[in-house]
Amino acid sequence: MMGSAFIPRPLADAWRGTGLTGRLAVGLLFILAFTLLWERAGDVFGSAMPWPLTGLVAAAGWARLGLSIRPMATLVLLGFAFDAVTLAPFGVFPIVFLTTYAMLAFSGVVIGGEMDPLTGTLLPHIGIAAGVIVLWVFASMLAVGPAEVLPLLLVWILCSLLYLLFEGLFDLESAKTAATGS
Amino acid sequence: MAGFGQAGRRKRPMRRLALAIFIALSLALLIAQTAPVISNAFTPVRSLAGDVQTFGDRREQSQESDEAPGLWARLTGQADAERRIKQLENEVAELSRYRQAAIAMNERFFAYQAMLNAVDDAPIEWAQQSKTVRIVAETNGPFADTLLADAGRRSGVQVDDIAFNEMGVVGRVISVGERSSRILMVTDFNSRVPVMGERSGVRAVLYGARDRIGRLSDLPEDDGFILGERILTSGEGGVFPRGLVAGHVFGDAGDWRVRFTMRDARGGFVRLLPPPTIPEPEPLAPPTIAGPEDAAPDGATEATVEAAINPARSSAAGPE
Repeated sequence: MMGSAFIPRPLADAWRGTGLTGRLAVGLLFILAFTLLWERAGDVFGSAMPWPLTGLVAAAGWARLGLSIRPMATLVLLGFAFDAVTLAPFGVFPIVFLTTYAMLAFSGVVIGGEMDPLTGTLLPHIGIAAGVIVLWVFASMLAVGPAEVLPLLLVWILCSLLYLLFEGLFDLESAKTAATGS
Repeated sequence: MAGFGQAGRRKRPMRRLALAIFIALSLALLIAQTAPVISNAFTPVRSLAGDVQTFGDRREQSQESDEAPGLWARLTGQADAERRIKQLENEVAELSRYRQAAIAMNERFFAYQAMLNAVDDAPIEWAQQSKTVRIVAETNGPFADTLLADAGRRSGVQVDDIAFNEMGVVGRVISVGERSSRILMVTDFNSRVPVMGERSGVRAVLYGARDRIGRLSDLPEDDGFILGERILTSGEGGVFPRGLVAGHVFGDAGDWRVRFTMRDARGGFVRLLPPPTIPEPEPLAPPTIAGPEDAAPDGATEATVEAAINPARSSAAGPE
């Protein structure tokens, strides 16, 4: 987990003992809080900051576990929340998040075995980029012309940075391992 | 580093099915929203999301907050479209006020006209004869400033028809073909338009120049235009109707110039109107003055004069 050296021991122990649902809830709360705070930060600084699609970060993080019903359901709910906030037609963001999630989850099956570190590091960012591309396709299809690329490029860079920083918060794999005792 | 999807390989068919169902449901929902009824059903959810977003934020009450576009709106260009719609709505609201004022003024105008028993030189029937034609070519050569319109004799266009667009008078038709007509623009040096200042009432003749700026000639020596006032056609000469906007006056006494407003129009269309027709006065037969040799009774002389002035009335009355 990134930055685990800076986390107080009781908190780290509590995190280690947290199950799948608890970690999903923490991830969900983090995304919602971060999104709202980011929006406020944009207001304070008065600049047009790119709006982070933190759901993509969650999709990339939770996909490490592989296909699972609860993360999928959480991503669907999160997607609807994003649809409501961004005024997108309902269903766009669930599809975007689920596509990212499924692509990354299936990539483990396709590649097979233990991934080399470089692939393991790059894959989430590629997955996030794929999610952004899916979003661009939907935005372009549902609008009169092609959607703007630059804002989405900024969104991708921002999400990739967020993934690097908060990857650990979306780690469900260790919870599963702890629960199964393997 | 562990690979993606390595941990949960069991029960995969079930999970794949769940994934497919989630995506299919989302897609179905997305498609279902093409129906306005279903799309509108989500409005309360969006309102709630907006409330959550603006919770504790005083900005929500301001107009600025209402206009802040969402990410989706920015991506799809919807924000620009909505801004444009808002702008046009404001414009329509503004114009509606002018429309109401125009209707009221029109009513008063006709009332005053009836009171004064004035003859209107631009009746509504005449204005309704206008035709909208498309400009297919513009000739701004060294010889003439003309426009070529895509309507000619077959469409009822005639020589001397007046051309104007939404910003003002454009010119006059100088030649007509079967399917085309040529308009001499008011910017041409050979064009002569009798004009007057809207506020000053000063009369002059407007003609074009090479720099597309109008010149004014035949001004009264002791009078001048008001800087910036609109220049309207005066209707003198009977070629151009009275009251069409030609431009705005600038410069100073002795060198008044006119900036043509018709250049501000963006569409490639003009309207053509037949020139106002002023009927010739009916020829009046000179009254016969009876000589002393064939003097008639007083009543007979009066009848002769009456017949000369108003033959119709006289014949209707019949011989007495």
